[in-house]
Amino acid sequence: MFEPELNEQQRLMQESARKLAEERFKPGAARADREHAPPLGNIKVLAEHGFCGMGLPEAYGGSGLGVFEMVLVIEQIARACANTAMLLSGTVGASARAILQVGSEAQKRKYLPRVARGELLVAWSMSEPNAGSDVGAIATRALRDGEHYVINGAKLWCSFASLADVYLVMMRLDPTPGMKGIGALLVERDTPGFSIGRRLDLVGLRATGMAELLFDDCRVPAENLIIPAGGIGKILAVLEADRIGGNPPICLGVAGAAFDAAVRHLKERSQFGKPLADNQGLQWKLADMAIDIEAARSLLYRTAQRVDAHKNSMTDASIAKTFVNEMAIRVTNQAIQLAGASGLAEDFPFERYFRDVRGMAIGYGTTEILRNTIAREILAGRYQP
Amino acid sequence: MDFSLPEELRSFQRMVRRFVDTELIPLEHKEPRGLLPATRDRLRALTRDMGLWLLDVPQSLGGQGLSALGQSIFWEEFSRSVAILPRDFYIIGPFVGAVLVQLKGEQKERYLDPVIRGEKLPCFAQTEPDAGTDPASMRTRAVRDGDHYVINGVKRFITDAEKADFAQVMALTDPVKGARGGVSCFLVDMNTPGVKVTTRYQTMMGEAPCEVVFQDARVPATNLVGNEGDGFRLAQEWITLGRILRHGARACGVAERCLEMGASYAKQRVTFGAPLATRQSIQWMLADTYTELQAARHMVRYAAWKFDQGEDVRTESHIAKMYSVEMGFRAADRCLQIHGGIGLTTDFPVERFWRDQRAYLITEGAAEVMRMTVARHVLKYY
Repeated sequence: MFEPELNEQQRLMQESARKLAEERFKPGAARADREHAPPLGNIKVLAEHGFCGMGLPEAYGGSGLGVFEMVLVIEQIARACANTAMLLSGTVGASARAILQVGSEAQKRKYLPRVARGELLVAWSMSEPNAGSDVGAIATRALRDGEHYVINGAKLWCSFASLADVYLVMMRLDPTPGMKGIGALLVERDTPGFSIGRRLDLVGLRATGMAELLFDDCRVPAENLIIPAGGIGKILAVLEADRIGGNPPICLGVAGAAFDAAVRHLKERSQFGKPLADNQGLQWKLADMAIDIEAARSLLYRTAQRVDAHKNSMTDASIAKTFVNEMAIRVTNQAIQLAGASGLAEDFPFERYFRDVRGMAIGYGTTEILRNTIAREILAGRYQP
Repeated sequence: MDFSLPEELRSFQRMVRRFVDTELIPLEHKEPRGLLPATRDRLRALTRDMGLWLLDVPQSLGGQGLSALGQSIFWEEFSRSVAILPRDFYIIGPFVGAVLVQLKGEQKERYLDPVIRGEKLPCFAQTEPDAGTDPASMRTRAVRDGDHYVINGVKRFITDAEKADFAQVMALTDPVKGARGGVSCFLVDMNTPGVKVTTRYQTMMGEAPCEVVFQDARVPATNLVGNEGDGFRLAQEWITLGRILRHGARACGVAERCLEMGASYAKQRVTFGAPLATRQSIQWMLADTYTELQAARHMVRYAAWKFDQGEDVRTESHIAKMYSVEMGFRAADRCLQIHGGIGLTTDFPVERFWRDQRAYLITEGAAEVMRMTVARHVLKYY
């Protein structure tokens, strides 16, 4: 199989993540899904092994690793439990990176070491009922009132809403329409006027504590400002890194797990007097799945390395995320088909793999919006194959 | 050539559509986790009044004796809603099926009549752990012992077994002949000693079929349906019609509703200052679904019509099922994608359509097995 140029440290990390996930996270994966119960304890385990501080500098208790290492680790965790991988990507992902990149020194010292120790989860909140991919349409607003901001509005699709301690919330800080008026504040869980709204039950990745956030004259100290109005441009690199480091490795890991389970099933199950694996039609499905997975892995690893080297273009993350998302849907879909009725039953993992990856082509930028980006860059002459 | 539906079927279609629009679709939000008992009773009374009761049962037995074409219209319209769980057919009367309809004499009095009166619930037990799409691998044995048969074996993914009064069990009476005349059908009371429902499998479409174990279960020889070796022949019509109606026509209804929901959401959802419906890529998703739906609908109605002419429609039923179920899933998947995040929530019926439809690429013969059979047909005649 694909052997990227891993250095000794990366190889050991990949191996230890795989072993940890297989032993500690896999046994509870089906239950977390069935009971919609976030496996929050797993974050403590990951922190003990140093994975929660992966992307943070040593000064804040981290190990200063890049997006590529994050991809390697999250992929391995997702092979065993996609919900745990989501929790890890939420811990080490966009919010922590944003604080690191644009936060004040006081904010960094206050939050980041606790993130690295697995004691603090910072949820990222952008979407609203009428502002999904269209960030400029955000309507939740904060008005300055002396030493405070007063927030009113509601957010949708906030992963980790019911678990987080702090929320990095995009909102309108300035009446200027569109992106120019959008910035972000850090909101702590127990702030008066802030509450967690309706739980959102999704088709897959059911154990991430997703819910609405509600703000009713919520007063936040002015020092919690992290992105001033019109400053979203400064964290575009954070978003690009998260688009690569957070979502696609989960898809890749789940696709790998589905593939392994499908191969086992084809070898073990016999119909018409021979193992299913002896049917050419089914062999070709396996071959197509392997081609798909390898192409996706190569693309994702290369893109992550380019992000770390600051050599990525505008289209890189969009191309990689779109391909990996759709690959995972194809592969987990075929795995169900190869498993037959067992593929549909909840006693087997196939249907969960399929449900877990489906929403990934919608979250973190729909594959349609990403195609818009890719096409725009092509037509502007900024993309060369 | 006349492709139009007869007037009586068009008015039947309008009636079923009205029923689905006014009675079933509102329940998708009101009772999303399955219908309440009172709702079920009310709906059953309604369908009975409307003549949507025992559609496939001959009039001589108190049913509607509806043609296969008429039933295809029904299944297409009925499947526009996910208010009723997949395979929960009882809203439109007891689920009788082709085997029971053929019963005569005492068997009819003991098993068919009580089912039609709603006093007994049947289930159908053919699939086994190692015999799904390949019934020839069946291992369940029925051995004659005096005036009884002794049945041993395991049946899996048996819908309704947990509440059924009796099962129509397919078992080998002649292992040498196997699928070619060695399988027989028995009526087995579920309270027979040695018959046990051991496991229920929760599935992604909300249905939970069972595993049933037969351990030295003694069944009176009078409970053999037809003669020894008749098993597959008895079930053939039920399975053929199942491909056309419960898979083919059903998928058309799913696609129709997905088209309605997708188009309506695309018109109302505004992003970047314009409705999604003005985006060409979204328009093309809808155009593809609409085109594929027309193709599937023609295949399904042709197969049903040809069945009504008394012709052999095995190939037509295979291609109609294979194409329609895959078409229905593409339609549901595009609809989900058009809805974005809201489509993923369980508050909305879109993800239900998507999950349910995925299952139909496997149930009662996977799409791959349809392809095998179609390929055999092609290589024989071309």
